Amino acid sequence: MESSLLANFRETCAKHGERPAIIDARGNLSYAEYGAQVGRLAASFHEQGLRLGEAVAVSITDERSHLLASMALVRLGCPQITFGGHDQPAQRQGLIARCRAVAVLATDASADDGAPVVIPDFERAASASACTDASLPVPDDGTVAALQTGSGTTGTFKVIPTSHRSLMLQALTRHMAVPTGIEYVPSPVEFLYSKKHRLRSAVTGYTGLLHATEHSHIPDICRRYGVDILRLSPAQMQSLVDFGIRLPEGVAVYVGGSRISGPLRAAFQSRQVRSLYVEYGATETGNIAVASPEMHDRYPDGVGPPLQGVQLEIVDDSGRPLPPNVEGLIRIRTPGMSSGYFDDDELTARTFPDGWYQGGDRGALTDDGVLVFGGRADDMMILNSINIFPAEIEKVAEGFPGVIDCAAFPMRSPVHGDIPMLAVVGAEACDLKALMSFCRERLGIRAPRKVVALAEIPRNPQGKVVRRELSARAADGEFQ
Amino acid sequence: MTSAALLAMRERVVAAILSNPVVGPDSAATLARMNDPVQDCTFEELGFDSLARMEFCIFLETEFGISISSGEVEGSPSINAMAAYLAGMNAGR
Repeated sequence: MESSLLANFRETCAKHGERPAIIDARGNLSYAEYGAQVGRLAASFHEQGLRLGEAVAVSITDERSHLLASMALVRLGCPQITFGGHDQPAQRQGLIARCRAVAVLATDASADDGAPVVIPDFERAASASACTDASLPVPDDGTVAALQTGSGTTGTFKVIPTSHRSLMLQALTRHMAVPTGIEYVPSPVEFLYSKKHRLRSAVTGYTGLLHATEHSHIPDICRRYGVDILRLSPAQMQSLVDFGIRLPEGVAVYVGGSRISGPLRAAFQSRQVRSLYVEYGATETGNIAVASPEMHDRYPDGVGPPLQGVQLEIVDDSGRPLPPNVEGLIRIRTPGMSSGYFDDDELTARTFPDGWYQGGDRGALTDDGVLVFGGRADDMMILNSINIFPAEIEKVAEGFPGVIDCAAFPMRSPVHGDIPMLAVVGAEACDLKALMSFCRERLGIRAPRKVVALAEIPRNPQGKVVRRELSARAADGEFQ
Repeated sequence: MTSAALLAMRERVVAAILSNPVVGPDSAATLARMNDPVQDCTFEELGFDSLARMEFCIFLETEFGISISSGEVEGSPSINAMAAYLAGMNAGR
């Protein structure tokens, strides 16, 4: 049976054919035309050799082209991996090999990511005479739509397969302040957060405004296009507060991805717009909870009550439920949650106990059912909503000549969250500058931003790194 | 604010650009202009995008303890404008 994701997309294209699916610098693309182009592009991908079930990487920076290619892969039933323009070659090649991707969709043939390049023929897909997807096999609900990547505790990426069914249910579970309208995500489509919302919007009939821009232009663009829903990263939200160029009234702003402090919420509500929604979610589960505009005064760290259909419990370390107002581990079941990780049974067993998702966030539920975020149970760092585990940095650094011992730790920044740093005990010949570049090549934006040489790494009697001490020393300016 | 303070801040801004892992000067002429306080150079011509701005801010914070957001970089879009903005921030403390 055809997947519910595709069925919804087709229904939206048929029912709201006149409605713009995409607005960008080139003009409007209606749902009718969007659906037709996706079908024709899927047919041409099929001609180029791509088949249902084969993983394909997407490396296209133009937003409209990326989305068309992405939806065409959904139609074909090819699990997709999204490459960012700033991803390092080693990261790309590693993912291609691990996920056994058969091709990279790109707009030029020079990409060398370890799989053949397939260049989409967008011009042909735009022409009504091209062949259609009518005779192609149809993916079902269990087909994997996306292989999403995240930071892993053990030092390797975790890969989260998200099925057609999950993606559809995640689209239906999220909170939207208006039932239809223009949604604007200023971050480029290659960002996971941005892309997943665009795909969710495409299957629920929203109009996606594509306009990657400087933070300072966001209010102007919202005004020009009459944006209804604006999705910001915490960094964009901070910039808008600093700027003081006001968003138009009537825009509902959603922000998530890391802890949004009470003072930042208050500043945004007084200097920007009052309709601020703070979301809580995970790639593994989709959205979990949302704090609406009137809740921030009362619960400055609250992320709201669980969304409809979401089960949420606070438990102790042994999995026993805790009473209200007591902080513990957050565990969740959502309608669209993934069932585990790609090729990592051990991590799956640990993170998905008894059908719950328990990703290591701590929190408490108030008497009236509001989730108050309490931080991480482990050492995960969050840099501008990018999750980074110390282990992945340490694993790379340990492979560098002359490193005897090392520990990654966060320098806490009021603006950026956790800036990853690396303390190294090295042989005399250990070149710290070269170590920085070595890490950057392998870790990209998850790399440490500063490497400092120490005589020894502080550890507790059990040998565990005392990261708190390193963070405190960074806060005192010792490593400047 | 003394011109010495402004010059010192300008040097920090240039150091932050030269350490940026995402962008940098594309020619010796641009580099010379960056290092000459009489001249100026915009972030746009250096190819700054959102990631480059974030990295620029992070460098200022890890090296000098200066906390600014990407929005503030957009608000002061050249080396000299940025140096003046940061020197003003320092003086106002």
